[in-house]
Amino acid sequence: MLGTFQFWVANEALPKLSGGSQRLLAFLALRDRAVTRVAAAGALWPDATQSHAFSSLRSAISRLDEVTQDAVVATRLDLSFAEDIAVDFRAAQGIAHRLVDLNAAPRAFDLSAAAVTALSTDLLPDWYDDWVLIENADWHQLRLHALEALAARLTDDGRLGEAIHAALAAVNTEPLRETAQATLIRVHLAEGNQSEAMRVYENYRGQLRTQLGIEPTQGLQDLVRAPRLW
Amino acid sequence: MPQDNRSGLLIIRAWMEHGSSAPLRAELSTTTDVSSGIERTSVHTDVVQVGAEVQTWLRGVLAGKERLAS
Repeated sequence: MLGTFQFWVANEALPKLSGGSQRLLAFLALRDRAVTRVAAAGALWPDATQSHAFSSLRSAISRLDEVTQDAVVATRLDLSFAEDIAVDFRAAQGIAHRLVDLNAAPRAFDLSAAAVTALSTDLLPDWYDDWVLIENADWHQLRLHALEALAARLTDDGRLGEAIHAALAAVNTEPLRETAQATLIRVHLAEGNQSEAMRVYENYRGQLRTQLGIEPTQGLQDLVRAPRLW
Repeated sequence: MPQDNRSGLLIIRAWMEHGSSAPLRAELSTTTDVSSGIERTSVHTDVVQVGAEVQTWLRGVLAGKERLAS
């Protein structure tokens, strides 16, 4: 569900599912517990009457093919997503939570380029259902913090090229976020590239002036202008 | 009269940049027809500017519906 909706079976992407089937699977995949049919119908078809929403839900379930119907665990009252099916978004959330938790030990994969890619990707972009927008807003915040934390960990480990990759991903995700810019500047400074750090600072300063008519904080000015001994 | 089933959408994401002379950041993503995707994104530091942007968007939604009706 990161970037786009796709259902994979044994490394092979299934042909495009109907819109209703995609939304049903995505809705259930985002939840780690059973959801009542009433709640699912109401969330997926918020503008429909309850009877029409139930009808649409039954239709979406019946349209699932042999493979995808195994993904939905349906009881008379509840629906849930099969536990043995991997969801990329949940995996990426796990990476992010481990990175932002100072007491958690990140796994090797959490510090990889693939992790940066996962943390750089929106959840179901161009889906405007309320339940997606809310989840995506939460994901946006979590992944920004995770990318900054990842860049800091990689910097501490001396993996500066990878740290720049992570910090740039944070900056690209939210160009006006000062902590993201500060993270990128710190990596350049750790490399001894003060001119690169200054270039990042001036670029950010220009964006702030043009878009908002304000200056960077004193803290960021101090960070980039502090005299350094190499 | 043609039926207008379009929905407009406005998302405001707001956060604080502590230490800034204008700490509020409000990013507005708007469209007057959600089937076209997000049409405009802007960032503001001023509450009044945010209110004005919301009004402009609502007028755009209304203008679109009036165009369709005529």
